[in-house]
Amino acid sequence: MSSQDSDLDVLIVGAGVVGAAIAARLSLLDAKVAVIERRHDIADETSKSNSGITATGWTLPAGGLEARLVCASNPHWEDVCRQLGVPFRRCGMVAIARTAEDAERIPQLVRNAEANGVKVRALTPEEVVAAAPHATPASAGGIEVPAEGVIDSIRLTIGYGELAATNGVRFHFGEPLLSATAAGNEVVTVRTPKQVLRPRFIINAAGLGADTVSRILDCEDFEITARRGEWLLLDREFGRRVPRILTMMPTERTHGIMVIPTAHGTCLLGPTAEDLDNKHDRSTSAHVLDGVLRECRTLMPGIDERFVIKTFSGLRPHSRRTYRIERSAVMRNVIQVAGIRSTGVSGSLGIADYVLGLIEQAGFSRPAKSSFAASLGYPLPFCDTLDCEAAAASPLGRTVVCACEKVTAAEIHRSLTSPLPARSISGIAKRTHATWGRCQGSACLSGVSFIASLYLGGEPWELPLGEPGSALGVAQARHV
Amino acid sequence: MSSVVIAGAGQRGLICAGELAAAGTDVVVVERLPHPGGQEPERSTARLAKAALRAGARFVLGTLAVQYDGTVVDVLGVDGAGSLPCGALVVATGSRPATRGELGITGDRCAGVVPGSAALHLTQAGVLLGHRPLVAGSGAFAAHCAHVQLAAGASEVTMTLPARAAGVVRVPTGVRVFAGYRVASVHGNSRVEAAVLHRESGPSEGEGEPRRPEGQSLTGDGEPQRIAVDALILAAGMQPMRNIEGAITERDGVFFCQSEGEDRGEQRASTAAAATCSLVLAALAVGQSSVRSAGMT
Repeated sequence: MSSQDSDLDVLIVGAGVVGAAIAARLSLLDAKVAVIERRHDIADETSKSNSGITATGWTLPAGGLEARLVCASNPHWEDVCRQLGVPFRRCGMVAIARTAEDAERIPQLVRNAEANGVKVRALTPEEVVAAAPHATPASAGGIEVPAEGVIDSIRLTIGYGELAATNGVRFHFGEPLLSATAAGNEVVTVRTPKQVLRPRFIINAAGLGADTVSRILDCEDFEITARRGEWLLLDREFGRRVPRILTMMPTERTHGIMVIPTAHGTCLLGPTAEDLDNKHDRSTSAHVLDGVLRECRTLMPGIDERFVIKTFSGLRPHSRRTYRIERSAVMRNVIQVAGIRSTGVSGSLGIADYVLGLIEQAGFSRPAKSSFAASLGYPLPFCDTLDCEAAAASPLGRTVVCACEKVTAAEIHRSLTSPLPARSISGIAKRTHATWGRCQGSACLSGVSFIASLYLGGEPWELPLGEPGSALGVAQARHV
Repeated sequence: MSSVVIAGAGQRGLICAGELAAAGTDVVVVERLPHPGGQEPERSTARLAKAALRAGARFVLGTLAVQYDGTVVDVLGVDGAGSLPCGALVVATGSRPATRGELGITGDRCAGVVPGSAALHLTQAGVLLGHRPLVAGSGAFAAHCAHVQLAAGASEVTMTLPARAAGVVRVPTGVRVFAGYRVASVHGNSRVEAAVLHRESGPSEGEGEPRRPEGQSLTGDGEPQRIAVDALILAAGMQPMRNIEGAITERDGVFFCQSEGEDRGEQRASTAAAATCSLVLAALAVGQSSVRSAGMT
């Protein structure tokens, strides 16, 4: 690699929803931008297992940066999702007071929402059921938040990334930040296992790893821990009964457990909030999941666990200080974008604009590109439209590979050939939902694997499920 | 006369097609794969398919029944998109092993957890799923999966079976069996490294000691067991495969003809198909009479 290749205007560390949104924003400028990501794919940690809620910010401390950036993002979801081909529904939320004490907090929460400019309505128990027919009739009242929505957060993150890549941003996967050199109060070079880069500005959007990245860059010392949330995913057949998000009355600490209609029509129950002493344990346990079901039934009686498709857990970053988005006081060409706890998706548009403002204040100045892509032109997933005529327009669109999630061969082909292509089975699943439906791949895992090995090369048994080391098999099988 | 759409050209779908067509019904069979027979073609397929054709059933192959709205079935396949008028929809889309979620297997989401049906296809294609795979089983399908893993080159194959199945299922020689156990959780970083087995709970508990299958080694003393394995093949609790939107659960005009649990074989299929056909014909007769009476008033 020539030194010219390694010279960058901006290096973004982390390809989660925040890093990808910043990449998309910067890709509209005439600047040389790259992203390094330690995992093998975009949207592969917090951004792949979260609630998918696009929050309004109605519960956030009024006037804070988090509230500001979430509120700034919220009006734009319809446009952005059209541009990036991302499933989205502004379905609304009803927060339910389960006790008289809960109900006493309604006026204060309404005032907070109004201070953030979010339209909400206090509800009597009768109005709760009118606003959300699936909600418990035994509430003590509630709050309706019409502008809350649900999005496919993985497709959003990939959409940001592919827009950025289309506009020239380079993504380097499987490349953790290993070390850095500095001169005075500026970082000069950063090293990954594969290259040395010389960025003018560095943006630390490393999510769960932001504390490590900050230390490697010799910047502020802070701690990010992992908070685990366990989830249950229910079939679309059940999701049809869930028109709006149901949540408990939020407390200062947590939003609590929710019943969430997903952008694809399925239903999510969760999350729990358990602080871990490591950053990798994504296990689930039966008693925790039983607790989720029990809590959710206090919001919505009649939750039928026969519709559970899968259970999983996600890790979200937790830190004492939230939304640490600022120019580092130690290394003046580093922008910290850390402690984005649970509103990374919801705040991503506002964060990207805010970060651009910060690097401009630090002396970065670039005009807009003379021409750039503003949208990807992707259709919505076939599963969301079930428009057979449209699917049949292309030959590959006529073969449905995953019958549960209605994923066509055309969609799998695109996932493997797009600007940021899938490099694993989970990469295909993240982009298409193939193998993620009711039968969890019992019918299509083999077919998806065969298609993937055609594109990715290698022996079929070596095909990774996700990260290196997660191969489908262990060796060549004897002929049976 | 109203049309009947049959989704699935496996054993049950083909028998239904033959019987309903022979009864004078307009029958269209929609099959996802490019050939009849279902996922596991059986010797009887050709005979049953010919009988259905002779009786007048039409076949649309390489085509998926996508959704049913009560009057038409939208289909998408190699010949393009279409809508089939449908007075009754027979769902004969076969069965599948229960998913990890359905089996309540918690723990890590690591690689190496594979549905049994996919495991069979992958193994045939040259993928050895594990040197020491564990097969979560409930009956004959699991025994078949275990057999295939041994034949493919696995060095040690372990299997769980409910106590009630242990003496009934013919377990391949060389397979270690934990009878009366279920898989509770799997653990591992990138790939499966271990599984925890619990004594099964539920209806089969309290049936006394598991019967020792003749000539088989039987492991486990009733306590939870943690065993080292490098793959988990899900082959327990066969469930009906349902993927036609609008026909996932019971509704008017939809008739499910799918095996439950381990009841397989042509004899069982014939009995089930006959029952489905009489329900369909009765429903069509009622539908016709209501149309007729509506026309008279």
